[in-house]
Amino acid sequence: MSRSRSAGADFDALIGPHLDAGYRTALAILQDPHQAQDAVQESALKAWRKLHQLHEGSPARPWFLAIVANQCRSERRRRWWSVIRVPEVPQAQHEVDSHTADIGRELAKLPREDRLALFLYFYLDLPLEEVGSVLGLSAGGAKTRVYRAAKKLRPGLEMD
Amino acid sequence: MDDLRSEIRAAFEKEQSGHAPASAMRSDIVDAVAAQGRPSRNFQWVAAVAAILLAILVVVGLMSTRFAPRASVPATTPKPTSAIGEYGPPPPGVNLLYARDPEHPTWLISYDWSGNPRGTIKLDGAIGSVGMAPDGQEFAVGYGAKGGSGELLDRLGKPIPGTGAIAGKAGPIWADDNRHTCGVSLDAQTLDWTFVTLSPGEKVKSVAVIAHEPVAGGQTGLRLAACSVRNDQAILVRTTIASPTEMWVVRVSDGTVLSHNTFSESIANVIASRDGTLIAENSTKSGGLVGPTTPNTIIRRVSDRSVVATLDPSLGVLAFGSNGSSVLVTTSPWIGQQAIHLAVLDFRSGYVLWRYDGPETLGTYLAEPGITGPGFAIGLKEITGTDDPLSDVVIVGGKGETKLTGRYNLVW
Repeated sequence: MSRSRSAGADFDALIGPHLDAGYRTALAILQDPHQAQDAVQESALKAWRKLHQLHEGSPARPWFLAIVANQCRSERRRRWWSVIRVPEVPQAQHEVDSHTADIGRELAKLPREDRLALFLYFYLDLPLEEVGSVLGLSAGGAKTRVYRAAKKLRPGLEMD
Repeated sequence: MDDLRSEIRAAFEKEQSGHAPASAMRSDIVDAVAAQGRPSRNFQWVAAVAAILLAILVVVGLMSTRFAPRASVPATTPKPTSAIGEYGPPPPGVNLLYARDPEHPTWLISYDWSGNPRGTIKLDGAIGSVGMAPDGQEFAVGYGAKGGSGELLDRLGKPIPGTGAIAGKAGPIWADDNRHTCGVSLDAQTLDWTFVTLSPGEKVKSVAVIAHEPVAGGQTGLRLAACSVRNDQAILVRTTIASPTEMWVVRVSDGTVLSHNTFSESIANVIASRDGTLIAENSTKSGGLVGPTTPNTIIRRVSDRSVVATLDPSLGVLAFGSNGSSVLVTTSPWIGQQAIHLAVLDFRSGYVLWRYDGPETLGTYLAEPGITGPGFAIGLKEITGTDDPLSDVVIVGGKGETKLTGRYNLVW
């Protein structure tokens, strides 16, 4: 019993702070809160089983988010999910700025990996090193991915 | 770059809003991990058993996701009396939606696609049912009605002199120029199906014999799925015992058959885009049909039959939007006198633009012609157990939905 409690406490200390970011990443990829919840739970259990693969001193957040992203990709690859499904709809919001609505539609049209790069960098505010870890790229590769994806939204964009 | 960062953040914020993680998510997951205990490489069989149990849980979770009640757009209430009146002559060159004035049955009131009244026309009392062209700039008498004459009226409701009529039980459809109508007629003697077109001010043109009916009074029929004057291409579908079996792509101008295909799998129906470039093969599940099931609803390019999008089999395409990427779909079979489940989605990205889950049922729908956005007008009827002629009207566009005040007898 105490062994279980200890395991839970250790897990909570290591991964718990990143569960929210994991869920939001899963939601961004799967577009369905129920699937996102399932994916993050499955990812947490995988992370716990693979804990020995996390090198000492390495940050847990990008490692966990990479597991979440892989889990979501795996979900999408399944035949059942390889087709378009109807996620919970974002309710019609007349008051939403039309510019935001436009860029939302442009984001929806991006390839999934480009969209994920923008989500991690601009929404979760991850540094490029961590974006790269999640996407399986170097920091430079992540920068290029983010830049190219952003340029698809704004063709004339110059990267700072 | 900072501006773009703010915009992207705002777009993702909007997408994530309303879907915060469950408050107990963290504690639930921690409990689940604690129940597993500390991982050990020497006891990998424990992980295997847990994985199997988790797989079962995930499957059950996914099933519960599929069958969970769906979010719905707020009900179309309240229902004040229609704000009807005389709005003068309708404007030319503007896409309009027409409804009958409940106070004056021969008057038609036009609304633009922002929901504003734009004009009134007063029909000759001798004219019965009419159907408007998709842009609201022309009308056909008896359009869609059994035995309707099919004669054409101009945008002010006046008969167009010299125009013939496409009559017959296989109702004509409007071509994508919103001026021509196209139909098929069956010769009772020869049992030939002939593709016909009608242009304002002209007589009906018999373009070509397309197919032959195997037996008189048989259980097959031919209908037009699309008629594109602009692309000189029409799509005709033969249905045998309620299931599409053959499809012809023909030239509108001379009836030349460009392609002929048979459907090897059982499907519910075939829906075509108005320009005749795309078709949706709706799964049997989407149509609520029993018997052999098709794995998915498929959207194909007509030119080479390549697959453009594969949709969940629960989705049935009702209509293509004019922008070439949006579709109005049912998300569960459309059953009369039961709440309808609808969505407008971008089939190229999978993004859901709008969704409706009751409480009303579907009356009619229309894609706004000639626009770049996902415009659909949808008539929703209350479930009363009778054929209520009045509908609520929802207009779905790129910026959300607009509802007309009041309920209407629609002519589209």
